[in-house]
Order: sequence, then structure tokens, then C-alpha cells
Amino acid sequence: MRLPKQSAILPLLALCAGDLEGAQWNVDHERSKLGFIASYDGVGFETVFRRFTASIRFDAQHTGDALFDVRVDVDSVDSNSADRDDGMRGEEWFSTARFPSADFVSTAVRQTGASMFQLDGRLTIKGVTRDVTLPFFWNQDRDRARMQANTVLRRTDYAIGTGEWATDPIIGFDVEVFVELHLLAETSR
Amino acid sequence: MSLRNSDQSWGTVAKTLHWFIAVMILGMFVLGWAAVNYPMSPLKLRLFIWHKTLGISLLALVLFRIAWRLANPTPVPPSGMRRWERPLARASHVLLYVVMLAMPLSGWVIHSAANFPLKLYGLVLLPSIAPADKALQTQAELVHLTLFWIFVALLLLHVGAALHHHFVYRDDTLTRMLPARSKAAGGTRA
Ligand code: HEM
Ligand code: HEM
Repeated sequence: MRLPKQSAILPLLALCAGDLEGAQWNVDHERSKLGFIASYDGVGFETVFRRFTASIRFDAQHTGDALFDVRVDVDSVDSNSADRDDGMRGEEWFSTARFPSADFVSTAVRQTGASMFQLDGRLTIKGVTRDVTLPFFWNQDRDRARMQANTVLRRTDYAIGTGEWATDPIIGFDVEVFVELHLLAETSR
Repeated sequence: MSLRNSDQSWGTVAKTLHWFIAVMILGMFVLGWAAVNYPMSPLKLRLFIWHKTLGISLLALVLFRIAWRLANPTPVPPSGMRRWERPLARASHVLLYVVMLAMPLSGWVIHSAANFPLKLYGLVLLPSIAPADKALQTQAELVHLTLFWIFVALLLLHVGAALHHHFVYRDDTLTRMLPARSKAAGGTRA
């Protein structure tokens, strides 16, 4: 009678330990990239955010427990053009003095394919919060993982580019957001 | 009427290039000035896009003009010119060619250092000729602006000389450059 009991508890314990150790992830900032591709007169230009923090709890086997909480320091915007970066920090664009951060908090995660998942969450940019769904790719090798996501946002949904910019297509309305995170499992102790 | 120059007259190609480029350059002054001074807006960006697109087109035209110049005889200077005037005329013309090249090139450097994309006529992506670098951009802007003032000074001299030839020396320097004269190209000197 004792043996079966033990055999039931052991894997459960192992699972719990696995959850605690393997599900929390830290971002390897050296290799990770978060930003967007916007367009200027029809030509795309890449922009990244140099500073962001991400608290990620994810286990492909237990998507119900997942939580993605990402905070982007918008002032760290970098499109490899000093003038353009200053422009983007201005009132009509990101207005970073008033809205220093952009935030994403997940509300639900579900699996959609072999390495494909879908993240529902609330995205706040420039004080505007909207529900978004972000499909992502997750590739894990033990304590290392890579998360990759792409989606297209409309800048006007978040009041990015007000005044004439809100109706003028010279800065394209569609903005392709990309997230590529290299993650390391948080090791307890 | 000839497309090519002779040693007495400017051909149609040289004349057309001279006046077409002259008009474009005046247009570029206006566009550049307007683009810099207009408040930030979509129109400002479009003024810059046109300034740059036309400026690069001008660069191509000027290169062609120089090639044409080298492949053609140059009409001899009017006989009435003073001894000291000839080298001055020659030097001012060389300098005009130099600024006609340096102006768009320095603009191209600003554009590259500022790292804005540009699709010429919405078709061809203009390659970068300098790294993205704010300090370099600022320097190139200064060069571009300085060249503009040098250009203005040279043009005052140039137009002044042309008018001087016409109204004071009463020679055919100006008229032989004018399109109307092409019908009698290679003809008499005044
Ligand atoms: C013959 C050709 C050109 C002429 C005569 C010309 C003339 C001018 C003038 C008069 C200005 C205003 C200067 C000021 O107020 O600071 C200007 C500014 C400017 N030009 Fe050009 N330009 C030429 C070609 C180009 C080209 C080919 C480009 C780029 C591909 C270019 C890019 C610029 C830029 C970026 C500015 C703004 C500089 C600043 O903000 O100080 N230009 N140009
Ligand atoms: C942006 C404006 C202009 C530029 C860049 C320019 C440039 C030049 C250059 C480089 C030459 C020498 C041609 C050669 O030897 O290959 C030339 C010749 C000439 N230009 Fe201009 N020009 C301009 C405007 C004008 C204007 C407004 C006038 C008249 C008022 C004028 C009158 C002449 C005349 C008469 C010649 C012939 C000189 C000769 O036969 O030796 N140009 N121009």
C-alpha cells in the first residue's frame, strides 16, 4: 500500500520543483531585442528600445499559470538617428516626458501549435490601454528559451502621431512590433 | 544649329544644361530654405524629400554636364576681355562646377549621417555614403550652409560679369549663351 502512494507523490513533487525552478525567466538583454519597424515615406526603419524589464513566468505544460509583465522605457527609443529619436520623444509622438513607460500585462496564454502560443493582454502606450492578442513562438532547451513575437499595431490607436500626423500617411499608420527575447531560467539559490 | 559646341559657339546641349541647371539650383535654394524653416509637419518632410530628390538628380545632371564639357570644344573667350579677366573667368567657372558638385554631395552626407531613408521618386532607395552620426551630421550641415553662401557670392559675380559683358563691353558673351542665338549658332560676333 505504501509503494503506490509514494510513486504518486514523487512525480508530483518533481513537477512542483520543476515549476518553481523552470517557469520563471530572466531576460538576457545582450541578445534580446524589442522594438518596431515603422515607415517614413514608404521606407521601413527599425527602432529598438534600449531599456525594458520583463517578468516572465511560463511553462509550456502549464500555460494557465503563465504571466508576462513587460515594461518598456520609451525614452530609450533608438532608431539610429538622433534627430528622429528626439522627434519620437516629442509631444505628438510618444510624449515620453508625460508617458515614460509602455506596459504590457498578460491576461491569458494558450497553446496554438507545436511551438506556437497566443498571449492575450493589455498594452498601454502613451496612456492608452488596449486589449491585444500576440501570437508567439517559444523554443526551449532546458534552462534556456527563446521567445519571438511579431504583430502589427496601428499607431493611431495609441495616439502616436497627433495633429496632422494622425491623418497623413508620410509616417505609415501600420507599425510592425517585434519582440525577440533570449531567456534564462531563474535558478533558485 | 548644333548639339555640340564649336570653338565659337555653345551648342544646344550645353545651353540647355546651363539654363535648366540654373533654374533648378535657384529652385533648390528656395526648397532648402523652406524645408529648414518650415515648422515640423508632414509638409516639412515632403519639402526635404523633394529637396533631396531634386538635389541628387542635379548631381547626376552636373556630372553629365562636366562630361559633355570635356568632350566638346569650349568657345573661345570674347576678344574684348582684359588680360586679367580671363583667368578670373576661368577660375570662377571651375569654382561653379566645384560647388555644383560639393553642394549635393554635402547634402547627401547630411542625409546619410542623419540616417533618414529616401526613395528617389518613390522608386530607388538612395544608398548611404556616411555612417549614422550626429556630430558628422552637424558638421556636414555647416559645410552645406557655407557652400550655399559661397555659391551665392559666386553667382553674384557670375551674373554681374555676364551683365557687364553685355551692357558695358557690349560683346556677345551673354547672347551666345542664350537659346535664341542657337538658330544662328556659330555665326557672327557682335
Ligand atoms: C545643388 C544642390 C543643392 C543645393 C543648392 C542645396 C541647397 C540647400 C540650402 C540653401 C539649404 C538651406 C540651408 C540652411 O538654411 O541651413 C539646404 C539644406 C539642406 N539640404 Fe540641401 N541643397 C542641395 C542638395 C542637397 C542634397 C542632394 C541633399 C540630400 C540628399 C540635401 C540635403 C539638405 C538637408 C538635409 C538640409 C538641411 C540642413 C540643416 O538642417 O541645416 N541638399 N540645402
Ligand atoms: C545657378 C545659376 C548658374 C550657374 C550654376 C551657372 C554656371 C555656369 C558655368 C559653370 C559656366 C561656364 C560654362 C563652361 O565654361 O563650361 C557658365 C557660363 C555662362 N553663364 Fe552661367 N550659371 C548660372 C546662371 C547664369 C545666369 C543667371 C546668367 C546670366 C545672367 C549666366 C550667364 C552665363 C554666360 C553668359 C555664360 C557663358 C560664359 C562664356 O561664354 O564663357 N549664368 N555658367
